[in-house]
Amino acid sequence: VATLLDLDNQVAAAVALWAGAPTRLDSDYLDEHEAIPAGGSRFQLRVNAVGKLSDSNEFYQVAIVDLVSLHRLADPVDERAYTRGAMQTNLALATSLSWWRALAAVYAVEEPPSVETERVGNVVFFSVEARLRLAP
Amino acid sequence: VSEWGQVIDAVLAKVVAADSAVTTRRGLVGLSLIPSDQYPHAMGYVLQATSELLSGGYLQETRRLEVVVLFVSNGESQEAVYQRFDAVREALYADRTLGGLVRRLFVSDGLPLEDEASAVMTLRLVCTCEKVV
Repeated sequence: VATLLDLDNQVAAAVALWAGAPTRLDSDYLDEHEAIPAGGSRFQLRVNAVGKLSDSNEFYQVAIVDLVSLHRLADPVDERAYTRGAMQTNLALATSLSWWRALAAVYAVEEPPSVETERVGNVVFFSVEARLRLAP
Repeated sequence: VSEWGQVIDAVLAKVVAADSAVTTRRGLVGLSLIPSDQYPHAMGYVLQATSELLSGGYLQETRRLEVVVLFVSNGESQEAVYQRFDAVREALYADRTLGGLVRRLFVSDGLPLEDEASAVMTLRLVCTCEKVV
């Protein structure tokens, strides 16, 4: 039976392979612990249980994954060097159902991942929310 | 060169680009110490430097530097002094990042001081520069 911790570990390991080799911030909730160096990529990951589903054979844990990708621009003026480059590569993975399904803890993707993007100062964010059914 | 000094130098370079007749210096001296052959003269110094953390910015801060350019002229007309102010502002606005030194700048203040009893005029231009670090 896959646990929320399994899912957390597997998502974190898979994100670490993204373009820019992002590393996980010390806090998944706060923005005041670490500065991101220019050109650096980081992520925050929150996995929460939101109930169970069942079919004729099994009960399935349902989880919501909030994944926040952060990149501090190496050149604040040339924003698109990132937003049209590595960001697109990583967004394609984060919104791909097959990327999520490839995680051993994931049985199915309940809803297509939703994405929001934002820039604060020189840091470009995209956040992905995915609703997943865990492997029974 | 310090962060502040780089910005002052860049602003003064714009002053000279706008009017090559102007001599410049970093720092402030009394008018009596400016040799007559150095008019029109511009003195550049920092009025104030502040910073604030960006909300949701992962310890990024916006630094704001207010650079004063104090113009001193002797025997020039009011109109000539005002036109120099316009020219300097246009030169600054033609490159609002000072070649990438800052994120943006704007001329936030102008203050002429005229004394009809004297041929000396001063004009203060404040250039507010912001960068995110």
